[in-house]
Amino acid sequence: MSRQKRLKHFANMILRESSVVDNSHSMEQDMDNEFIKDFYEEAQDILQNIYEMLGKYLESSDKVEALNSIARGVHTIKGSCIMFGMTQLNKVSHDLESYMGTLKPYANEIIQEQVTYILRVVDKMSELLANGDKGSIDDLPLAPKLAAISEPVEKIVEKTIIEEEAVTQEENNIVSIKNWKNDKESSTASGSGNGNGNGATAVQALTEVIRVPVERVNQALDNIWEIFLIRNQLAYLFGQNSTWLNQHPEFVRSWEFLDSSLETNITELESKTMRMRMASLKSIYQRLSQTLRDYSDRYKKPIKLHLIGEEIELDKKIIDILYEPLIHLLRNACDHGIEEGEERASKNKPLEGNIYLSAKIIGNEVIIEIKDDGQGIDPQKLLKKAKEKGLDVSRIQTEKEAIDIIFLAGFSTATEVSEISGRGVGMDAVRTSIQKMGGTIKVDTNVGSGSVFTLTLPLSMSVVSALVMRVNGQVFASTTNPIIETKIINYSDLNRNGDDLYYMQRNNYIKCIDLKNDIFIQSIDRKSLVKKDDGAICLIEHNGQEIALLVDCIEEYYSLVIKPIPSNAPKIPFVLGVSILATGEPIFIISLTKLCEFVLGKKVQEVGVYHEAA
Amino acid sequence: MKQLEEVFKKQQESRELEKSGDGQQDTAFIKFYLNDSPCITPIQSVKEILEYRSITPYPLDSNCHRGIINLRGNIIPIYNDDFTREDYKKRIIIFEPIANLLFGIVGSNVKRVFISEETYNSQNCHNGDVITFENTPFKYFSGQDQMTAEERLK
Repeated sequence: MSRQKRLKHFANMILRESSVVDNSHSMEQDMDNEFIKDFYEEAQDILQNIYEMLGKYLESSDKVEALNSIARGVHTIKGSCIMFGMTQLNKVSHDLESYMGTLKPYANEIIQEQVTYILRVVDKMSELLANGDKGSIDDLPLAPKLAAISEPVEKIVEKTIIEEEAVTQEENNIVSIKNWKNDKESSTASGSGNGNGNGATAVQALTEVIRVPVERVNQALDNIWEIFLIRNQLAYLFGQNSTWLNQHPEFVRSWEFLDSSLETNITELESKTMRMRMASLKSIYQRLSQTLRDYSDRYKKPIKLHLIGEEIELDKKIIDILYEPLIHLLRNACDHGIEEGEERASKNKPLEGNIYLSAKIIGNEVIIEIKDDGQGIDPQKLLKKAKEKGLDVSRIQTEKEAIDIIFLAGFSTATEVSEISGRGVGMDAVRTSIQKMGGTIKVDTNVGSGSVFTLTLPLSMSVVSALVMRVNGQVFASTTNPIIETKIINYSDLNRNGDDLYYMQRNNYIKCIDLKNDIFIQSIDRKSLVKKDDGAICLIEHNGQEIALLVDCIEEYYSLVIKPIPSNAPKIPFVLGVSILATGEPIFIISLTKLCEFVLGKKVQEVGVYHEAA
Repeated sequence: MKQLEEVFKKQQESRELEKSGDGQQDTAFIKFYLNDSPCITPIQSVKEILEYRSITPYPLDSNCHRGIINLRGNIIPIYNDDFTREDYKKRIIIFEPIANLLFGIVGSNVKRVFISEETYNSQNCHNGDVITFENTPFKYFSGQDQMTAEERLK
């Protein structure tokens, strides 16, 4: 928060207290809300930086400066939070600042124990910040002593607290002013005191950064996509007038040059604006580390989390949704994957379990892997459990299909429901979230040596590569990621066995779903329907097995902008969004895996075999 | 855009008529047919009237919901389609019950009429209620309440 804004807020606070202005004035409330919002954003940024600095502290070459930077961040939060009456956060940050003050002369002797303690306190600060200062602060551990300090740290902290300001409600305003002064001093110190000129650069860099609400970036993106669609429509119109164009080659050349230049500029503008909405995985990684620390402490199960690719940036929309599925997978790895100490020792595994969370970008997709060195998933155990739950497992033939049982709704192998997992809602929810983002999830496992969950996600949820198909005379689009292969076929290539249809490929019978029986049935124009002998097959992977989807024809590949379905339109489980074609016609974007689930689920329900999973 | 301007013009005319001595007692309405059933809606609740265009159907049949259209980059759900009156020109009537949340219905034989305030006020004016005008019973349709409008179209 800028110093000017704070002064304004402080002036308002004083005025309110002296009843000069009406407290119910809405403009003032709006201003306060703005201040609170600013404070929250600033504090979150500071905490994120502190986490980052603490993560690298022990490897840091300049530990004194690193400790000072952390202390400065804590100090800023301490100073600002009291203005919003957050006394608990003020106390915790004050105590931490004092503790760090005692460590300052011994910055190079700090070991993991002190870093962990500081992390705990910072976790508490995050918690208080997120909960509006609500929550207990009595559960914080005792500050660890430093071997180099002769006097016990607790005593020093206690003494410092007494010596420093005693924060009372009456003194809040004075504290605030004092903090502003300290802020100024510390910023001056950081600007000139370190002697390497980094401070000046940092100040310069700060002035070059502005905060822009995500909503404004989204509005700009909406406009860009609108231009993108208009350009597509212009290109379509151009193609429609080929006879006239053939007679005007000069015009065509100029048009093509301008069109290509327009396309390049739109793409560049879109990518630059998208980057404004990109966020790194760092924030998610930090929250996951915090969860793992809590789990390890609570269940006395030593687990190390290895984080790779925290610098990778994704669309903020994806980052916001991704945390929940990742936390589910991490908790499952801790609870079901990593064995207890004795079991690990009996298997000659190190006592400390390992979970590797890695992210990498391949093409326009991000691949996220959560790998553990635990016990793996036993397909036989899963099949047994599925039978006990009354699920129809007669069609499961391979180990992979058996392992995919974990993705069924309500399925859990846990005999007891713990605070962490075992309710059977996790993996189904994880897959649904991933599919909503237009991604896929798969699992590879080795009994005894661990499991790997691989998430494949688009880099952006807004522009997708899509395949446009036609069923019952209507076009729809699908994201290309679940599609393995497409092929034009003759209906005589298909084999029928009772009600089931199969497509034969390389001596394998692949289950085939004729989509004309399932979608756009109500819109069939019987008069214009011409019976054709050929169609197209779209081969996809679903739950570890290949499925062939039969459509009328496959039209074209497009880059489509996904728009959300209007909130007053009906919700269809397999529809991801809507887009607009070059013709100006709206088109539904469908998740083929969800569509398969819907069709297969419907069929199983029809024959009355499906007992529980749905 | 042209249609939007027309509606605004009509709304303006209606306001002017209401202000003037002659039209003081009259309120402007849009009269249309929904599957052979004559309906009436206050012109103020209409956002725009469009030429009929093809509607992209939903992949699954969904009660009164027919599909979506693209209106200058906005996706608008259309609640019904008029399959009966092919002899009359069909129009898409767009309503905006909540700011920026539009929906449309397909009606045929769309016309503007004026009803005296006395007639209008003396009768029920809720979705589905009947208003008698020129000796014809019209079903009152209000696009302001999307829930009841949806019910009404089922």
